[in-house]
Amino acid sequence: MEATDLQRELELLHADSFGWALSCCRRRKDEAEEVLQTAYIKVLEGRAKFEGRSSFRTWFFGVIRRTASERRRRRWLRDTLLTRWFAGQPLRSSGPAVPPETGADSSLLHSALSRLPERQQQVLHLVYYQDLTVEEAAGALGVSLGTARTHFDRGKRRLRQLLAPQEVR
Amino acid sequence: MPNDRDLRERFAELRREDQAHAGEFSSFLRRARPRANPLPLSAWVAAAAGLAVMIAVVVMSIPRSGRRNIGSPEISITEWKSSTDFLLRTPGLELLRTVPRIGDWPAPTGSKGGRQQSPASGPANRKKEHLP
Repeated sequence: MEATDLQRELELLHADSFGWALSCCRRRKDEAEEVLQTAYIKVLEGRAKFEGRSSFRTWFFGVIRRTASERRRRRWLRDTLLTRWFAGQPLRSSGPAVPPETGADSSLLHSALSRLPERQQQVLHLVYYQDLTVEEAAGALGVSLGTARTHFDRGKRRLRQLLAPQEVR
Repeated sequence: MPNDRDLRERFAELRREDQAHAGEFSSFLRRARPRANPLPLSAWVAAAAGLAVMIAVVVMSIPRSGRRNIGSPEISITEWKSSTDFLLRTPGLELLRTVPRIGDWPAPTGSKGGRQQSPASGPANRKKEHLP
């Protein structure tokens, strides 16, 4: 794929990619922006190459997910080392996980989602938010279809339970 | 309990809110523009090789005595001698190590007035003398 084509595809996906990056970064906006930017650099520098084995969207979502987990791993390592070397000093926080100005419904959804395991959150996000099929979600998450389905069913059931009592009040 | 459609609507709402905060793609692209001249892979390989050579040179230049020498002892086992080795050197050790030959008795030492035995007066010669 040519650089201009890549750029056009990325632009078309930008808003959805940002939403997915937010989900991968536990709704931390600054972190999501950094991850998305790094993912763009990877694609534009050719460090991540699209080989047409899936849709461009699924593939790029996979790049974002890996970038976010690499960043998280690096951060964890750095924080662990810092804790060991400079024990007692407060560590830098990556900012609050609260999203900017959200409606009442969305904040209910946030709090319910945040109580689910990460995989369940991600698969629900990909299916409901990004309108992907469970199969495409499995591709983006790099898991088998069966695993994605299990996460999806469990996550959906749990999310309904979490949202139900809040509506009764 | 919310059904599937309710869930979709909630997520759609969240999506609309997120998209308002997504920012412009062009601003991301400006920040994410690839470096004008990124170092090629060969440059990294060359740098790594150079570093490896430097490390090897430094390691080789360290004097051998400074290194730990566990596997190969400097003194060979055939040359090694016990510190109590002298105790095995008993007086008269030469007598025990050599096979005496008749007629070649070592001259007795330190016996004053002892009969000096000449090689000719040894038992073998004496035997010869008695022969017809």
